[in-house]
Amino acid sequence: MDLRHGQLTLQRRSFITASVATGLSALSMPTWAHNDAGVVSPPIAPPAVSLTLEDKSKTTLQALLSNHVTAVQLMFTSCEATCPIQGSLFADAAKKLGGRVKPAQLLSISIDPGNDTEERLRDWLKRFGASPRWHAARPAARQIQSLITFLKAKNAPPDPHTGQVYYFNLRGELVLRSVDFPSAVEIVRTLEALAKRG
Amino acid sequence: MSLRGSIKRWKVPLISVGLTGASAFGIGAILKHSAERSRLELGRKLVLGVEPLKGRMVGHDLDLPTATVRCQNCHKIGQEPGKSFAPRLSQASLTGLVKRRGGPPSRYDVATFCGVLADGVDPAHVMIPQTMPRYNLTEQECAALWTYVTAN
Repeated sequence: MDLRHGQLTLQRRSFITASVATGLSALSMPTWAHNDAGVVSPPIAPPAVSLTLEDKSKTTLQALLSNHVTAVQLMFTSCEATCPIQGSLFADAAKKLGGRVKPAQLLSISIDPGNDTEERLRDWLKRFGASPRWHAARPAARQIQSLITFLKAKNAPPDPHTGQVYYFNLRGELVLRSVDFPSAVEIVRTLEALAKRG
Repeated sequence: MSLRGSIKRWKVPLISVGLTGASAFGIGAILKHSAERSRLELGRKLVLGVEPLKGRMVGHDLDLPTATVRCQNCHKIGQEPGKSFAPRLSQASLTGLVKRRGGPPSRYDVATFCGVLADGVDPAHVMIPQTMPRYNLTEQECAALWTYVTAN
């Protein structure tokens, strides 16, 4: 009985030690923003970012977001691991949106603008199911870091970005960071709620 | 009857039985080899996404397209060149006694391999990342995948 109690105490002590060690190691880790999810309050406007869309038109992130409720994801077309999942989920969300929630749009922004030409972005959208509700864009290379920092989208290697979705309100402000890979149903539901809120 | 006579008398049946046994054994070996090859081929096709795979993200209610959830998107098999995004799949990496995801040393067998694909719990009872889809495979498909990845 004593031995068992001793074992339990030892186990508990080991558990506490391990927990504290884990906590400390987490604190000392680099500030990867993996799953830095939740409501952004107050909402914040994005930094100035120039964008070229898949149809070669040029705009800015602020202009594109304005008067829309938008779900944004980061990706790159040569990514074979997580980006196909992101593409499939946005394609499904676009299909589910159909003609509903008029101001809603989906936007995939490349973090590899050097390689992701407009043609490659167009092909990437087609690969999963292009939709008028879904755009892909490449930002100016010099502005990517400020965008990643703003979104808190930096991820631990080997994946340089998270699978999160970033939601913007009608004023083009960031209001919510999702967990990794939200479902299409959840994306559409969130856009609907944001559109109703105005 | 003399000994010689007995041998003569039993010679033909004995030879027949021997030949039948040998051919049965041969056919058995051929069938076994053929089944193994079929499993390997099915496993290869599943890894490449040539055969349809049913997989979805944790908590989602819809399967993703096969091209999105095929193994080769994230895993290199055996000695395939290049960096593997997710753990490399080979006989050594799966059946070797190693620490995975901070858990105690563990090794996969076909049952735990099928388990991790279905529910994301590894042989040391540690949950794998949610980045990996969860798969709805038949027993045959899962065994074929195991046969293929452990043959490399």
